[in-house]
Parts: sequence; structure tokens; C-alpha cells
Amino acid sequence: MKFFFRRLARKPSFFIMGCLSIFLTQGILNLFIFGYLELDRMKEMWKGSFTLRAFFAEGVPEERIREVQDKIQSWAAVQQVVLVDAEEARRRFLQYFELTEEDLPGGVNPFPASLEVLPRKLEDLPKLAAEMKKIGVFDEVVYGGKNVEELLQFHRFFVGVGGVVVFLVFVFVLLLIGNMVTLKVRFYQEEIRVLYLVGATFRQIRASFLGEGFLEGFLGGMSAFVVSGFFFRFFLSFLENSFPTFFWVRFEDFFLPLLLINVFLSGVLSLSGTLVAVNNVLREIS
Amino acid sequence: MKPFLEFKEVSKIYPTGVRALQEVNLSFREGEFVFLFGPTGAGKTTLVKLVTREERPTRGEVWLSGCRISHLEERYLPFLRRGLGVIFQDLRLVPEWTVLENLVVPLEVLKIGRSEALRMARQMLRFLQMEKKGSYRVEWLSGGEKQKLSLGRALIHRPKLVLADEPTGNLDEESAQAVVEVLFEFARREGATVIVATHDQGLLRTFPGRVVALEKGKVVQS
Repeated sequence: MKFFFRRLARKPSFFIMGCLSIFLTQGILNLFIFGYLELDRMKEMWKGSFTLRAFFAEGVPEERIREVQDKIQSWAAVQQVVLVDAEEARRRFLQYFELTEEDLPGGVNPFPASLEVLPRKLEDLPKLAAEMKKIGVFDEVVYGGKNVEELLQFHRFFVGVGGVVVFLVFVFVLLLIGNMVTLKVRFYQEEIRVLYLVGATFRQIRASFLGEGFLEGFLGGMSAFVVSGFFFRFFLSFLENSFPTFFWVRFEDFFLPLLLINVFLSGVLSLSGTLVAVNNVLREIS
Repeated sequence: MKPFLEFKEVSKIYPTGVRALQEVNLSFREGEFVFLFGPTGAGKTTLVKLVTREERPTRGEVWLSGCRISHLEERYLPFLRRGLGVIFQDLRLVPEWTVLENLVVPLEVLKIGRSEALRMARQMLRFLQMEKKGSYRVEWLSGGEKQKLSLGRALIHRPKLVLADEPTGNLDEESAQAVVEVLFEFARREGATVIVATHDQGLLRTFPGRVVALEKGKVVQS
């Protein structure tokens, strides 16, 4: 570590630049983490709102209804299946329209039994509906139709574009940190050469740079976490107060991924970048 | 008595086709003070580099203290170099470091404690008459001072074999004599083998020692 401190004392700007590049790139990445979590939260909301409903045809026996319920429940794409029998459907109808038993002619129940199916993934809704229709016991299978398809389209677009942007940001992060580290190590090439010629092992040479890389990654990542944490704490509280009916991601859900990604990713990137750069120089001089 | 350092049928041809050494057979005893003499391009630096293993022979073997260093695996090279004291032709000092920092590098590599390393470095600075320049950065030193510093770095860990490649190249006669005097004294006091590659005939007349003359990659006097 003494070689690291020597370099730090001589050229602190390299260390500061390393920390800052990690801090800034992590900061940008944090915005995308927020975007992803928010999207996920919205998806959860949609999932609840657009449950698939399948109404049984008249005269389907109860055993067959149970059999179909079990069959659908066993599908991998299905999260939950709830059976709404004729009595429950009638009760819900009365409750919804604030009617009493007397308002409906006695003895006859015009409401068919139905299944409420919750998919694991929103994108599977159309496929699930098609599969259920094929069973041949349903009169009607509905799932919000056009609205859901439009929302799904928007979601797919957002995830697609977001994916490309996240990928580009990640490449940018890799290049920025990688080049910063390479430039720094190249600057110390002569020092590495001298150390090697007076008998330092590769491990000794690597150790001083890896220590520096770890510290840079840790400090840069931690500062990105602290600053982003404060920012999102207030930002989310502001959003919550300003648009209380919308589904905002909770800060508590955001805290852990942010900490893990900031510290882990910056540490890994910084360490691996340093290792690659030092190894390249060592390969050249040996 | 077994030789301390030995070159057996050593030839070195660089990728450019230059034949730096041709079937060189040489041996050096422990504690010997040797001038490796010859004009520029005679193969002196190549010979030194074969010992530090900056280069490998195209043919032949180099043995040091019973170890065939010409065929030593890469991972063992640091341990070979820790036992050598080398004054490189281009000095190989780190210009951004201070005199003291450059001086203690071999001790740090050997993991000698900080206080002990500093004590040895101060002693060496006194020996080199540079005690007031420990905190100077290398880039502030004159050519002669840099040469002395390089000398100090080569000797500070008391190696058994010292290789000096043109250590007087950039120095006036008086400074050159002083540098070789230090090496001569070191060999006498520590019993180390010292090989000085030089093209300066004046040094050969001033200091007693074996002279190995090289010409166009061949040993012409041993």
C-alpha cells in the first residue's frame, strides 16, 4: 500500500478523477434503477387491474368447473385462479348496484360461474386467454381487451428502449472507468518497470494498484449511494405528496438495490479494470 | 572451485538479425572485480541483460550460483533479481519519486521494515555524500547525482552480484573515478562479484581487476 499512498500524495488528481468517474456513472445508473423499479411497480398495478375473466357456458357441471380450475392453476404462466361461482356472482351484482334480494325474481340465478385468472407476467395475458378459449367450456373470455394490449405495447416499448439505453449507459460506464484506470496505470508504467526490475513480484505490483482500485470504487460507489439516497428520499416524498394516487416506488424498496448495485458494481468494475490494465502493462514489460 | 557466474556457449541474435553475442564462454569467481571492456555494440549490455534476464540467449546457457538462470521460469525472475544489484545504462530511476524513495525500493520489495530501510538508506546517502538530498525529487538532480543514486539503489541491499552497465557514461573523469571507487570498495568490503561494463580505457588503468574484452560479440581477452 505504500506505493499507493506515494502515488496518492504525488498525484491526488488521478485518485479524485477515478472516484468522480465512478460517482458520476453510478449516479446516472441510479436514475435507471429508479426507472426500472417504478416500471415494475406500475406493472404490478396493471396486473391487479386487468385480471382475466372467463365465464362458463350454461350447464357446465360443478366437477368439470373444478377440474378446469385445477388445470389452469397448474399452468406455469398462471399465478392465481379464483373461482367465482353463480351465488358469489349474484351477490357481487347486488352489492355493486346496491340492490336487495327482492329486486331480482326469486329462484332464478342468471349469473354464470366464472374464473378470475391472474397471470405471472402481464405479457402472457393474450396467450392465456387464447389457451383458455381452446378448453371449450367458456362462453366468454375477457381481459380488458384493447386497453391492456395498448398498455402492454407501451410497456414493451418502454422496456425495449430502456434496455437499449441501460445497455448503452453500461457500455459508457465500462469505457469511462476502463479508460480512466488504463490511463492511470499507463502513467505509472515506468514505476512498474522499475519495481519489476528490482525484484518485485507481479503480486506485489498488482496489490498496490488493486488496493487503489478498490478504494476508488468503494468511495465513488458509496458517495453515489449517499447522494442518490438523499436525492430520492426527498424526490419520492415530493412525488408522494404531489400525486398521492399514483403508484410510486417506496424508498424502502429502493434503498437495498441501490446500496448493493452502487458498492458492488463500482467495486467490481474498478477492481477488474485495474487488474486488466496492470496485467497488460506487466505482460508488455515482462 | 565452481564459478559463481558462467556463460556456456552463449549466442544472442536479436529479432532484427543483429548478432550481439557469438558463442561466448566466460566464468566469474565469487568476489571478483571485473571490467567488461569493449566499444559500443560489442555486446556488453546484452551480456548484462542475460544475467538480469531482460533477455534470453538464443543458444547456450547462463548459470548463476549453480542455477541455470537462462532457463528460469518467468515467475522466479523476481527472486533472481532481488539478489542482484544493477546499475542500468539508462539508470531507470522514477523521476517523480524522491531520492530516498528511489533508494529504498529494493528494501521495500524485500519487505524490510520501514525504520530499518530508512536507517540503511540514510547510511547509503552518507556514503554517497548526498545526505542533504534525500527529499529531493530525482528530476531536480544533476546527471552525476542521478548516477550516484542509481549506484546506491544497486548496492543498498548488499547483493552478491553487482552489474554496472556503463556507470560512468555521462560523468567527467573525476566523478567516473569516484563511482568505480565505490564499486571497488563495495566488492572488497562485501566480497561481492562486481562486473563493470565500460568503454573507458582510463578506468582499466586506474583500478586493478580482471579485464574481459569483447569485440563484435566475441570474447577477445578474458
